[in-house]
Amino acid sequence: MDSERDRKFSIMMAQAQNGNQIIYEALLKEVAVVMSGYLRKRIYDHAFVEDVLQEILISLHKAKHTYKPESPFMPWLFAIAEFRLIDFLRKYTKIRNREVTGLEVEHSYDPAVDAKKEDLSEKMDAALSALTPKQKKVVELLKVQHFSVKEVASQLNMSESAVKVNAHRGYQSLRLKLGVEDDEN
Amino acid sequence: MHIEGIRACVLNLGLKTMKTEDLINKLARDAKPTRTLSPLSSRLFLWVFVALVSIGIGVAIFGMRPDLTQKLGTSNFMLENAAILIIALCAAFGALVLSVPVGERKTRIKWLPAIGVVIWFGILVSKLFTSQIFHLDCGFSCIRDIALLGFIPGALLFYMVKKGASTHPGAAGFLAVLAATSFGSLGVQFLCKNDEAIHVLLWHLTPALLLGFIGYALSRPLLRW
Repeated sequence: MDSERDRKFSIMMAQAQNGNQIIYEALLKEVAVVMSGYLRKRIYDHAFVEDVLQEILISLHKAKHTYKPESPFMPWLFAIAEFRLIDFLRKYTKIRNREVTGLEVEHSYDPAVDAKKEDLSEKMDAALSALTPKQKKVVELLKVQHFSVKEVASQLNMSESAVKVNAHRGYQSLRLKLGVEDDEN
Repeated sequence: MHIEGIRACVLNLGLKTMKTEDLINKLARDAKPTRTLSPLSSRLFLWVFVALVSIGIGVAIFGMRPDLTQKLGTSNFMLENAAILIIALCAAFGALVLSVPVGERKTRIKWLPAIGVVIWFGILVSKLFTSQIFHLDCGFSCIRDIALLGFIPGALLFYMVKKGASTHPGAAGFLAVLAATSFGSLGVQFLCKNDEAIHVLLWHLTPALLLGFIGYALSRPLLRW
């Protein structure tokens, strides 16, 4: 069964390499199903499965030229998947270990909660625009660029406590606008 | 401001800026006939050819050691060079194998150059115990020459690795530079008059291995994809 699927994927990939867009789309859809199952067993926080899956699909697309149709497809695919998964886990651990507290992430396995988060995602832009420029900058440096409080303080020429205050107020404002406070408490 | 990033990090929502189905459609529409990588053997052959030519030119420019003809007749010298060549070829082979997505089992290939290292090290240690001459000298010029001679082969191999999509960039980067510095060391064997085991061990073999870590460090910014 597995070798049959491997052969099928291998043929599809060879056709995709020749520019067959329909076959390529079908291949990506089948790969997405396989990868979704693989990731759900490995990523504790299911909210991230979709993101890692998309990363894997983009990587497969970028690495398409490295696949040799005469060799098995699955080991090649899983090598990419594992690479991206490790990459994600590394980033995720880094985020979890941030020294600034304020908006602790909540792990959810409930689809209803996930749907609510989707909705929150759409409101995010509006919530961010309500922050002061300083708060925005602090949140960005801490949470997107992963600088420490000390580094942010020196970059923005602020004291460490001022950075913490700005971050805290920013998070509070985001919570308020997005109504996520109740979810967390 | 990276709104999606904040969304992901602050609210733990993930980067769902696009549905997977839409992404698949977009990627499929982007699919054009792809030119696959050339076979590993031809890439390796090309690299070895360029590396040999560039080392040859480098040695000619820097000036060969005066006793080279005499040295070429000694078995120890030739054996050492063979060991260095083994390191270079195994490292280049390993770098190219790891330049494409491969499973964990295949990464064992990174230990292949150890064969050459053990042989070279063995020859030098045996020389060290049999030789009476034992004085330490400074060989910074040898390190410089290894780096200079290895620069073009190293840059080329790094480029070849980058053209792939390595899932083990650290190991691939290390091996690429090790292959280049080993070729550099081979060139230095033809330049440096000092054949003492301790000198070769400290100023030819050790730097060739240590410089490989530059490749490891460079892999993070240069081999990302």
